[in-house]
Amino acid sequence: MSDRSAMQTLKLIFWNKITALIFRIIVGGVFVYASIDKIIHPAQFADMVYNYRMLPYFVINFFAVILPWIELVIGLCLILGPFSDAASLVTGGLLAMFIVASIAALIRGLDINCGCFTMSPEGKKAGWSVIITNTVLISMLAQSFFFDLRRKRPREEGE
Amino acid sequence: MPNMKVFVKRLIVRSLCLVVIASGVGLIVNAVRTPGVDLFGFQPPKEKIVEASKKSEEAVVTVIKLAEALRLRTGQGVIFIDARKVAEYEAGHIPGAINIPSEGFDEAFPSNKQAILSAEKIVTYCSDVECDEAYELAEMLREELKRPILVFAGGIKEYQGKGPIEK
Repeated sequence: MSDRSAMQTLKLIFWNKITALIFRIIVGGVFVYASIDKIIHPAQFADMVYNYRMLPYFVINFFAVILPWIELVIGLCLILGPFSDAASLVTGGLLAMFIVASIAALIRGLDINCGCFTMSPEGKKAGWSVIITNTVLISMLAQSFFFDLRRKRPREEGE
Repeated sequence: MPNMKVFVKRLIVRSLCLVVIASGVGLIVNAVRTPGVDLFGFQPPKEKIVEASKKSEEAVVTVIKLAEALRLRTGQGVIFIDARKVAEYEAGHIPGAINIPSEGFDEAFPSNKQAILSAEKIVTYCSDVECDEAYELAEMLREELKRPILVFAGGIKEYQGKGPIEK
């Protein structure tokens, strides 16, 4: 198979509305799932946020209360469709923030749970696996966002 | 191009709306649920441990400073317990201190129980003022022994240069 046809096959697989939809639903599903335990246990989630040693004390509880609900709402928007472009932007911002927090934890040698999906002490550690997972999610999100954007453009230009 | 500008503007406004609505829902739910979280009154886990221990009359977790730690180190009947990981303990610790990593309490405690019981005062410490292990260990010891526990908050970082180090 030539390089050109391989590129075309890849484009066929990754640049179509089914893939965009699947990617959007996967990222949305991850965010909805990630929000549930945090909504149920906000105080424990606040302790996890504190472990990153990035926020001043007076902000931690406020952040721990609102973040899971933002995750839930944008997750539902990504799955169901309405405001999916805005939800993608917020999701991308959050994923970038999680990556920065994980890198900061790695650099500072913090051996802490990431607080990603469960508030249990046996949860996933903040580190490379979180960074890689979030990078993959951002890539999937970027694909669905730009694909949807390109599909919408002719309609909006015609308005 | 003007269309793009309008689109980006709309996108940002929609994104902010989503964040504000979701935050609002979160704040309302927190206000309604019992017990809700005190929005601006976060207490670190170690402070919670010290605070909670005050409810127990005979077994309190008390934080001590460097001067007190140095005085106790040269005193009689005092045991220092290093709550850090084994490798960190082996790299350098307060002379005479034993090692019970807070994460490996169940494995390390039984073999050191007798030495701890025979001491009049028990002092735990970890790496620095930011670490929590000394507090977690103090809480476990307090529950196990029903005795007051002292936590040297500054840890090995504050101690270094002020007293000898054993390897």
